[in-house]
Amino acid sequence: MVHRSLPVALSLARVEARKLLRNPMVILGTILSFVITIGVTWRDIPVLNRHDSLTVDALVPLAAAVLVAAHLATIRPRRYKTTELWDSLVTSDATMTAAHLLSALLLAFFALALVLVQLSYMKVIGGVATPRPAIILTGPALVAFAGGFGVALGRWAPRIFVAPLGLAGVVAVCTVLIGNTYQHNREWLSLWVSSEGLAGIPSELTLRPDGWRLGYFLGLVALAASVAFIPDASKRVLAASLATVALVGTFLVANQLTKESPRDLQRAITTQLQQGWTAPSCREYSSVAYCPMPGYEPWIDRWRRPTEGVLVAVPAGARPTDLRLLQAPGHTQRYDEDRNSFVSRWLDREGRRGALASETDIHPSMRWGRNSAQGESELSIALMVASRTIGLDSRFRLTEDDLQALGDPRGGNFKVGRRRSQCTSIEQGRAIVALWLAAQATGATEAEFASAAARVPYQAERADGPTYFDPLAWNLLGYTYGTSDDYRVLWGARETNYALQLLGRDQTEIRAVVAEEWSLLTDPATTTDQAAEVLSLRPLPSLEEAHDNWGLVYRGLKQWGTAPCH
Amino acid sequence: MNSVRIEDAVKRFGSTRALDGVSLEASEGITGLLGPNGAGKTTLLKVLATVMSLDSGSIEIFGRDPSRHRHRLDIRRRLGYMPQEPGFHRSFTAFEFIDYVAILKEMTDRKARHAEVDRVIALTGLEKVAHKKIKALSGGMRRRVALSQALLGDPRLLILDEPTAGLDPEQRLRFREVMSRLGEERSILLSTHQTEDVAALCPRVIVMNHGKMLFEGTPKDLREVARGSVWFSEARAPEARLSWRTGEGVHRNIGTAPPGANLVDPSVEDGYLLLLGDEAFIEAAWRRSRQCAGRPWFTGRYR
Ligand SMILES: Nc1ncnc2c1ncn2[C@@H]1O[C@H](COP(=O)(O)OP(=O)(O)O)[C@@H](O)[C@H]1O
Ligand SMILES: [Mg+2]
Repeated sequence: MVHRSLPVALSLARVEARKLLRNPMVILGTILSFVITIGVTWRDIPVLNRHDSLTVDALVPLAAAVLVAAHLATIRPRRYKTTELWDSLVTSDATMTAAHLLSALLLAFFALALVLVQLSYMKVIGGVATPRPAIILTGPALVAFAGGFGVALGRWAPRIFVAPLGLAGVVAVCTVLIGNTYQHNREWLSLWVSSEGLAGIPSELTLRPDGWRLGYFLGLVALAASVAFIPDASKRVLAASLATVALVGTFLVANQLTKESPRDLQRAITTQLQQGWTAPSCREYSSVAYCPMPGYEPWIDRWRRPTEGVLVAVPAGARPTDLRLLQAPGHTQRYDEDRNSFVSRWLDREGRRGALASETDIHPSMRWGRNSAQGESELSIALMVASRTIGLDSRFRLTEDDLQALGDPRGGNFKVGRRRSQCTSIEQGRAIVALWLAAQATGATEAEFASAAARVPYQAERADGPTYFDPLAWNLLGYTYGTSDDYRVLWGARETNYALQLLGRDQTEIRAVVAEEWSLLTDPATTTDQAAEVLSLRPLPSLEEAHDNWGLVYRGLKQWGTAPCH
Repeated sequence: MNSVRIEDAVKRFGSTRALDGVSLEASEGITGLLGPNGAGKTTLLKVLATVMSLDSGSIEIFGRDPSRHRHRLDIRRRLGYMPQEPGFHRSFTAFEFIDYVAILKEMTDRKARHAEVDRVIALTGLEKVAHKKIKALSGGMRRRVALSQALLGDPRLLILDEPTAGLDPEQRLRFREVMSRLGEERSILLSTHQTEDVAALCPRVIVMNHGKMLFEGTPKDLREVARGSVWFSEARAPEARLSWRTGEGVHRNIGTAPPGANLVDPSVEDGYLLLLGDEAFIEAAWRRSRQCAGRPWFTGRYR
């Protein structure tokens, strides 16, 4: 009777899908998916081959709503006691089941539309790169599974409390799968995964089993659908056989999903990573080379603004001629979404060899901020360009002088010739110039620097305001820390506040003074006090005085165990 | 050809025989099923509506055997059923609900189906409330929704279980109008315990009790059962099985009339009451007490 049942199932599915779409829970889930997408991308320019996975997470609330709503729709005849009337009608239970499943499928198409709208939104707000097809389809598959699961639950257990219970069960299982299985990739069996990936992992360097995962979801859809038919007496054998096939298929796919990714794929990715360092494709503007990773070309303009903003304030003769911005992922991030850490391992190994470090390059990260975070990104670039221009370098080998400045801490990492990746610019007059150069680069860097400096007041007096004293502007380190291994410069609070004073004055005048006194101001030997005098800054208490006022003793650089920047 | 033929139907629920050897045939026209609560009317109609099977006996509807899957589907395609207690999807509008049933009745062409839904809605006078949620409708309106869905697709066999229960007099009149128009070309089986419905509507009446058929004939035949057993008197007659004071102030008595009694023309109800004996009297009395609550009218007694 398929020839009559099919059109009936389709007509019913349309009605049921419309009912589902008008369900308040589903409406809420739809709204939430936008809230999540807009919220998560609020401070980040989306990278579509990374943020595409956000569309899966964003559909989780909708999927939960569809599960409950589809269950309610399936048990409707029982809830409202229309079973007797339904029994007198020619349409069979199996057709009704099919209709409910089809309505879940229609909801999956709705979810796909949501995904496409959200990806378009990401593109419109400046997103780069191309989303991965398997991931685009994973969210809708999740919604289809949720609907199918709700229908199956309704067929097996037509009680109103079963759907919330089933939902709680799914959440519990997924929580167990996500937690504590870092090494085993079992996380991929969960219906959602932790979105650490969004932190900045380029998908080019990622082995994410997204194709297998889509297959796993589709297997679950088939399993739920066939299980839903088992209670219908006339189809029992067929449905049970299909369910068995679906179960076996899902199991096989799940097995693939939890495997470590193939070695040759891992190798391909590390090779690509290496190539990014050794043979980048670059474009040059005003004798600065910008080398984005593939897909990130639109970000060149974003990098240019703070870069050129810094360089324009530097006397022409003092501008570096070999400045190169080479985009690279930082070491601190987690790349391997297949959870096997092979990229991290590779980076550590290469990093130890020094193969990844560059004496001259600046490494913009894989992220770029939006809205309130735009200033962070611009200031990050500006700080690195300014440091490089001034000659503040955090990568050097320890010298005898350094050890002396540190109070001669022999042993361990403190040996002459040891490689350093962090230094302190405290008490160096050129730090004021570097900070000022970075801060004045663009409107956004100025605002960002001012608000960051406000959080590190150089509070010499204990009288009012903060209840602590810290001579270091730790939060400025954060601007470059997560970005790249380069330019890990510890800035002083005193220099920061001097730079803030400069920002408040007439900039043409300052530029003129800086240009005139450039060699003095950028000499590593020039102290903060000397620079402040040259720049006619309102004097701030010395570090000794400030410590004294707080009842502390200033012990010089020994205090932090960080060598002075070379 | 008969649309419905049942022979020696038996249906048991535990020790209760809800149907106890019922045989009946019905063709075009309206057949009224009359009987007190528990008589077996609903059970019989459920069996005819193919939602319940018999323990023994045979049944044929349009010459098909509902115990066979294919045949059952054929029957269902030509059947309209209004259960005694039809449920409703409360969050659906009347239109949506009827439309939903229409799909279940294999009306898959959307335009044609909507036209058909509009037709039955007009037939039962639901136009004004068609787009209200069912949970906002009164009981009478809901009965009309239930009737509307039964009328979908103009089925050849209509099975209506207490279609007039809960209707006000005006709705009841309207229902009769609709039924009499429909009854001409198709078979309608309806159950009721309202004798007025049967008298007004059904060319054919079946009286049931305890799962058995007590009477089959025209309303006139049923009336004739009571001829000579209904009389008026000034006071309550001691011979009467049931006696009540009418609006005109005289007592109407049913029972074995004493000689010389002021005999009157019996009604269908009189025949029904006589046929059923005591239980029906109790039921009738109870029903009257509800209709005229608060008035000292009931003087009946049980023998
Ligand atoms: N599902 C059932 N389970 C047990 N007893 C039932 C069931 N349905 C009906 N009965 C019994 O069968 C008898 C006939 O019931 P029914 O057909 O509903 O009568 P009517 O519709 O004439 O009031 C009653 O005694 C009733 O209690
Ligand atoms: Mg009944």
